[in-house]
Amino acid sequence: MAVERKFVSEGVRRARVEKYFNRELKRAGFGGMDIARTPIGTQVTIFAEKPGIVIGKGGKLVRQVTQELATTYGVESPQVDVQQVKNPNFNAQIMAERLANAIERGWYFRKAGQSIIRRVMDAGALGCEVIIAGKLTGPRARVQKFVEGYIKHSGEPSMTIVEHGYAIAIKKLGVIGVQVMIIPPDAHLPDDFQVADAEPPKPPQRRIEVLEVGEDVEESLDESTDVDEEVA
Amino acid sequence: MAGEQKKNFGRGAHECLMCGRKQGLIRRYHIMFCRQCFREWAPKMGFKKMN
Repeated sequence: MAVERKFVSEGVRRARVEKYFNRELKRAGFGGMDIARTPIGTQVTIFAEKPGIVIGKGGKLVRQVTQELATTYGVESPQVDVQQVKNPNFNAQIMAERLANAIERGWYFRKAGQSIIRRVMDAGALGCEVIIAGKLTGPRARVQKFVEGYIKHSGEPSMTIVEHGYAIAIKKLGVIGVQVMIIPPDAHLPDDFQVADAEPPKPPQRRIEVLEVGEDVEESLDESTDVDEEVA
Repeated sequence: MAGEQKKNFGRGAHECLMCGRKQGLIRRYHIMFCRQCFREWAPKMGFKKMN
C-alpha cells in the first residue's frame, strides 16, 4: 500500500468513527475521541461528560461499540477506554449539544445563548461565541450571534486555539443550527507576551594587575618537570 | 426485480460512506466520500489547504 494511502485511510477511519460516536453517544455528552495504535491493539479513548452512560449497564453499550468498531469500521482489535471530560464548560461540542437541547425544549433562543455564554465565561474562558441560525422567530430564517471576550476567526490560531462545536436542534417548524466557539483559559494567544525583568547590573569586575616577574621563573619550571619525570 | 439487485460495478455501485450520496464521489486514495462530506471532514482527516 502506498504510504499516502495509509495516512488517508487512517483519516477516513477517524472521520467515520467520530461521526458514529457523535450520533450514538449524543445522550452521554460525547466530547471528542482519540485513536492510538499500540502493540496490543488500537486504543480508542472516548471523552464523555457522563462515562456511565457510555459504558452502559454492566458494560453492555461499550461492548456493542467495540463490536461495531471492529466489524463495520475496520478498527483492528479495538480497546475502548471511556474518560470523563475534565471541565465540560470548555468543551465546545458538549456546550453546543447542551444549547441545542435547551432550544429543543422550548427555551427562548436569546436566553439559552446568553446562559451558555455566561456559563463558559464564568468558568474562566478567554472568549466565547455562540451562533444560532434558523427560524428563531417567525417564518424567516435569521442568524443571531452572541460574543464575549476574545475570539479568533482567521488564520492558524482559529484552528489551533479555538475549540469548535456544532449541533442541531430539531424543532417542529424546522431545524436550528448551533455553533459554539470557545478559547480555553490556558490558550496562548499569539499577541500575548510578557516582558522579562531587567537583570540587575553586575558589580564591576576587579582589574587584573600584571606583576613583573623575573626570568628565573622559566628555570624553576624546567626543574619541576625534571622532578616529575624521575618520579614516573 | 429491478432496483433490488446489488450493483457490482459502475457509478451506482459506490456511495458516500458518510451520507450515502452517489453523485460527486471522491474515489481518489479510496476516500469514498461525496464532495460535500469530504469538505466537511477534511480538516479532521488531516488534510490542509496550503494556498
